[in-house]
Amino acid sequence: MSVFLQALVSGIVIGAIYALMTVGLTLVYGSLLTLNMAQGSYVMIGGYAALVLFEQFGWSPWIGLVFAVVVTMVFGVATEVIAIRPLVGRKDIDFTMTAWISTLAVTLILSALALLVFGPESQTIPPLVAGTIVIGGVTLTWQSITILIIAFVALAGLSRFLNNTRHGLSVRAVAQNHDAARLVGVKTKQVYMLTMALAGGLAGIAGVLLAPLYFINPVSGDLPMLKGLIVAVLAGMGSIRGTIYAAFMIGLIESLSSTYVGAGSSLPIMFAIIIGVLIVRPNGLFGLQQEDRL
Amino acid sequence: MLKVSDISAGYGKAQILSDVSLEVPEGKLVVVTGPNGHGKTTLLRVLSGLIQAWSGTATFMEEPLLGCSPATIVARGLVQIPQGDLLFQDLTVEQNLLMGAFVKASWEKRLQGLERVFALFPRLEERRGQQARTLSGGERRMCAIGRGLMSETRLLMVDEPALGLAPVLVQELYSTLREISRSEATVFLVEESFEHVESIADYVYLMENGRIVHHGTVAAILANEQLRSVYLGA
Amino acid sequence: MVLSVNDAARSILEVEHLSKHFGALAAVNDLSFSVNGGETFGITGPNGAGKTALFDVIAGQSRATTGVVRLKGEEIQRLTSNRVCQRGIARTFQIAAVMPSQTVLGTILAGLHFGAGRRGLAAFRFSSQEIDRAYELAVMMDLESRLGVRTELLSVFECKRLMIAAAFATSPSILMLDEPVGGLTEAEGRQLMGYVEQIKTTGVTIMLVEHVMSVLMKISDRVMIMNQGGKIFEGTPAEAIEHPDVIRLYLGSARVAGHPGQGGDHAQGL
Repeated sequence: MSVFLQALVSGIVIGAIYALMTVGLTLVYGSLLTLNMAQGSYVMIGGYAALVLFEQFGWSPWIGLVFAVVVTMVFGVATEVIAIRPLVGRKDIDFTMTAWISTLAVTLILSALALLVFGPESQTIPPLVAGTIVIGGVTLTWQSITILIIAFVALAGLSRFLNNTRHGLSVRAVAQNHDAARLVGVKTKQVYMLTMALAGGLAGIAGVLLAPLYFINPVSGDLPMLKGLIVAVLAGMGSIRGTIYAAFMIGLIESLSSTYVGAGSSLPIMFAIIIGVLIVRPNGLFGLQQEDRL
Repeated sequence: MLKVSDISAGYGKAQILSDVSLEVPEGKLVVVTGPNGHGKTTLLRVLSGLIQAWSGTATFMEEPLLGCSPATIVARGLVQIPQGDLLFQDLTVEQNLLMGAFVKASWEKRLQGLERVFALFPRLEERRGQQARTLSGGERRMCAIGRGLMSETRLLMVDEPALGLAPVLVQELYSTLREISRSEATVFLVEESFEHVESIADYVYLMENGRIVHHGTVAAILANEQLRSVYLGA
Repeated sequence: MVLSVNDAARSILEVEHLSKHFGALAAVNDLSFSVNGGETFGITGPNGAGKTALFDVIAGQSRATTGVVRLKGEEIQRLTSNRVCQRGIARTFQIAAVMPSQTVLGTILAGLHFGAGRRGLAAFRFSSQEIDRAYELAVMMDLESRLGVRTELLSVFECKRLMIAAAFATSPSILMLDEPVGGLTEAEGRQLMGYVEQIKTTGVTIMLVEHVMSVLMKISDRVMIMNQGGKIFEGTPAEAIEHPDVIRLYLGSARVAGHPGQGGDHAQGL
């Protein structure tokens, strides 16, 4: 029983991290109508940002966390300005495909830069909170609990922002009806940047939280990107809440299959489930329809 | 208030508007009418800054209009209520209305804006917490118009407000628009059916194939035999 | 769509002794009529008269049992629907038949592109002229603000307009409209026929099936009244409403005010 509970807890924790990574994908898809392949890079960059502060100055990962968020937000905005904005509104291209390829190029470039600057070795930072605690036969690390709390605060904060603030509502408005948003005076360029900043920042948090578990290296964003895509496909694009549910589902599937079936089994099992879901619901479990940008 | 001179516009190389000129004086309810599919929506999209005109000029309150961004135009008080409502489906009625006050200056006065709109459309207040997608056709139209009134609108451009509404609602709608034109903002209307606007229009422009083919007061148009058979025979 | 001088003088569609049987049931029974180039030909009749079955056979959705359909002199009754479209007949459907995940612009472009029969490498690209023309057609049906929207999100009225735009985009010789105002409110129906009137001014031949009498009579140059698979009348709307057989079998005692603008009403079917 405690094995099950342990797996459950792991699953929830990893699901929380996936939620942070993938909510950004949905947000960007909603506003900019493109799948941001650079999302995984922000996870990697977040990790490196915290690493730099820790190694250079010995500062605690908490400060690293704040710094990572700032850095990844900047990278998010930069991606939009450099890789996506030049493509918007051009009639001679298929925007969705071209922007996807463009952000993929960004990811490859960022990985290469990281390799140049930091070298290939995997590095790590200490967890935000050390130590463990045993509850009901289950061993929990304080880090896991911290991850859950941080993820909860971040996602709740995001929800509050999107629903109750002027700029947050503008992000939702642009995602729902681009022209109507412009007609009420929303500056869509600003919304694009804001959305990418949010996506970057959330992924950066995920990066710092993941780093103690999975290490930091120039390709440490690749697997999170893949997992993020799996979550996104399962959830369908458009619903933030749906993405969060799907993220936890994938986290649990991953954890339970590793525990009960075997270490390498989680990916094949996830893909099998995805295929099944898509056959029945091609828009994903929670997918909402979207408008195309022309 | 709004002066349009010789505007031509289109999409790619397809010309939709040719040398369109018109004027909307402050406080007058001006209507552009004519068959559907002839570019009346394109004209409004040009005036709102969504598409660029190929040539011509336009001024709003004496300041140049063409080439400004949609956000600037809204901030200056020229607001369009688009055809088909274009509501934010997943946002609530209240959130839709609040978005109408997005412009900084209006955002600060958004609560008064809400009060004004709810006074005009009490039904919206009842449904304020509901998602826009759950509203009936008439309620959506109210919400769209309400959203247009949330900012310090000086000129309200309304594109086919009667489209898809049951006849009994159309009556109500037009008297509301007349009320708005008297107290809140100048109203510039696009309407395919001349009958609907006969009794409220101060001045009418007839548009066909992207050109203004005639204009005048309602009385002048009705007195013209030829125009009567073309536009009212229908 | 461009009318030659000869077309106008001649029949563009000839139907001779057409029958369509479903087992023992004759949905269309030994029907003969012709449509002139450039005219608007209305077809009506009570439910079960065979109107949609007739449309299906002409447009190639179903195969005639016997008889001949000639488009501009060539027999088409054995052709599949895509070939019939290539020969110049474009048809809309009663219930909106559009590709749900395609955008409005994409749907119109599909009509333009494939209706023009692009082959080979040209089939892989949309030229900028095609895109411009698609925009024009969208403006014509007041869909310019919905271009990027997926068709599954459109209202019924918008869908109908889109279907007509896409059909018209194929540059047809004959545009066949099946119950265009079905499912629309009265106001929407009136507006939709306004768009059809606009299309009519381009000179394209239009055939429409419609059981709302006022709509049919107002827009048609000639009408055919069907009953139980056969034709009981073919002629002008004015003649139709005076014709004894039509009155007896279709209009009943309710007279239709046949002239435009005076408001018609639904006739009583049998």
